[in-house]
Amino acid sequence: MSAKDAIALGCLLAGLCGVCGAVWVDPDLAIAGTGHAALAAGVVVALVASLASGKSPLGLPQDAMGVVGRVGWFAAQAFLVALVLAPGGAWLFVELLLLLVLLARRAATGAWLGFGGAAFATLVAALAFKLWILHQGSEGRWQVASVPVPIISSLPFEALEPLRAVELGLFTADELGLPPAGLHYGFVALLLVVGFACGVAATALLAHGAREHEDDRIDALLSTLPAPLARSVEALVPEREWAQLGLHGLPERKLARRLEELVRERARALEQARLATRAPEVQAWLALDQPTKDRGP
Amino acid sequence: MERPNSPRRSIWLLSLAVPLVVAAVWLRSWPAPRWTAPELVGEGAREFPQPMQMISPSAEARVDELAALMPPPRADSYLAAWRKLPGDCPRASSWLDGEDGQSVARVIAQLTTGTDPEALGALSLLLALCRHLEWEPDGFGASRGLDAEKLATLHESWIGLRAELGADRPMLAEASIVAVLAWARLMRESEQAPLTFADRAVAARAQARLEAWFAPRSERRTRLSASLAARQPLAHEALVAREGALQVLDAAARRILPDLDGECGR
Repeated sequence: MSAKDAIALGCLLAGLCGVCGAVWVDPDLAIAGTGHAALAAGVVVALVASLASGKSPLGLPQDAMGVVGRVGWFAAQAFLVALVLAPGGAWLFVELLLLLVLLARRAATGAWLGFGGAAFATLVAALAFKLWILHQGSEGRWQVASVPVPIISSLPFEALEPLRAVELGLFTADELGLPPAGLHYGFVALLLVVGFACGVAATALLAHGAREHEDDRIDALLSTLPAPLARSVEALVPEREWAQLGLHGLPERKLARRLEELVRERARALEQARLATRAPEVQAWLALDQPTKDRGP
Repeated sequence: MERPNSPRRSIWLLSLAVPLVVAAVWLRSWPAPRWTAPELVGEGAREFPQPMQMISPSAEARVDELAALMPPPRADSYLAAWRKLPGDCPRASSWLDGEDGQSVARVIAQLTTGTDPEALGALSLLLALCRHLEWEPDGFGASRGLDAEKLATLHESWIGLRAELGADRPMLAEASIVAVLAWARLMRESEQAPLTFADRAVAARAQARLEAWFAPRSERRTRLSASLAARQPLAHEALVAREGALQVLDAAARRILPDLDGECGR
């Protein structure tokens, strides 16, 4: 898959993730919007995480496809966070804070799946929690958990009914912003899981596409050189090192100068290494058999 | 290092992605569907306005008006049934087993399977029976709850046949819920009738009927369930949670139908 295809497909999956997280489905299969509050929270997390993570290894986008890739990546992050955030309640703020810290710590788009493993685990945990509270709400149980009180819960007296269990994490349908007719839990859970998968795939594709796109730019620059020269540049500065060497995101002129600089440095180092190997001591050492080399000087 | 270039495919994918992203933002403001009571819309509201008056204590004042909407033979039976209702508040089980009682029960059964005005007529007769017969637990035997149970059985037939169909019909929508409430009132009375403990058999039967009518555990709601959720949300929540649904419905019945006291309002 080409870099452009990866970016375009990533944008498409980001959109799908957004659509899946945008609606509730009630038991009559009618849809209702989930509101803009969660999306706003997702945008803030994506924005703050982008700013806090410092300079991206991809640098600034240098062409239209680069801009599309970066906008798509930002949208995918915002939609993904909005999709997994609990619809309301105090736990929403805890999740927000946690995701903010973890996404800010990511090694930008160079990390696994576009974000760190800890951030991914938190996203999965947040989604699982959201699915759980929606399940509770769809069953008419408006608490995260109900813990039976030992002994009292086993006594057969109706008067003790209010004391039989301790209810943890109480919430209401209004707090979660659920539609008045309730939730079709199966459908909503399917949408959320599909949306999550699309969001993760979008982030991974867009991160991969952005890297490939930068490689393509460098490749296009090298293709303007005479073929033997281009081959020698590629041999001295191999493609796998381009991102590490800070070539991604450089404007064309700076990229050409940086490449030239690198080629000169490496050619010089190679020449010095070649001269060094011609020294009689080195030649003598190379001529020795392996057991002798192993015994040492 | 050459990579396949496919600008057309990328542009095609992007042209799909852009509307999706816009839709993802726009859909978030999609309003939840509003519930409108069926009796307020459509032809039925004009044909027979205020159908709930037929299940109120003053229903007798409109029986001719309702009978005019029924086919002639059924209309005559309906009017005759009203004339047979007792005025001296006999025990429900003994009167229903008598000649007049069986005749009225037959008319109710016939009307229940008819058109919407006929079904409403059947329900108006059922509620009238609840007001003209005594069904409060009495005596010391095991049959203390029999009167209420017999009346509840008549309601069950009506609810089973018409409530789901009528839940979105202008003439029967609200009446269907009132039928369920009246049934719950009778079942609760029957359940609580024994002097020592509640009758568990009645509770189990009531639970089974509620499951059949409302399918509260099903992902797709019945029309009756949606109507109940809109009109009696607490009762619907209790149904879904399977916690004291009959009590909640009974409490709603006591509030909405305070004259259903089992003693003909004496």
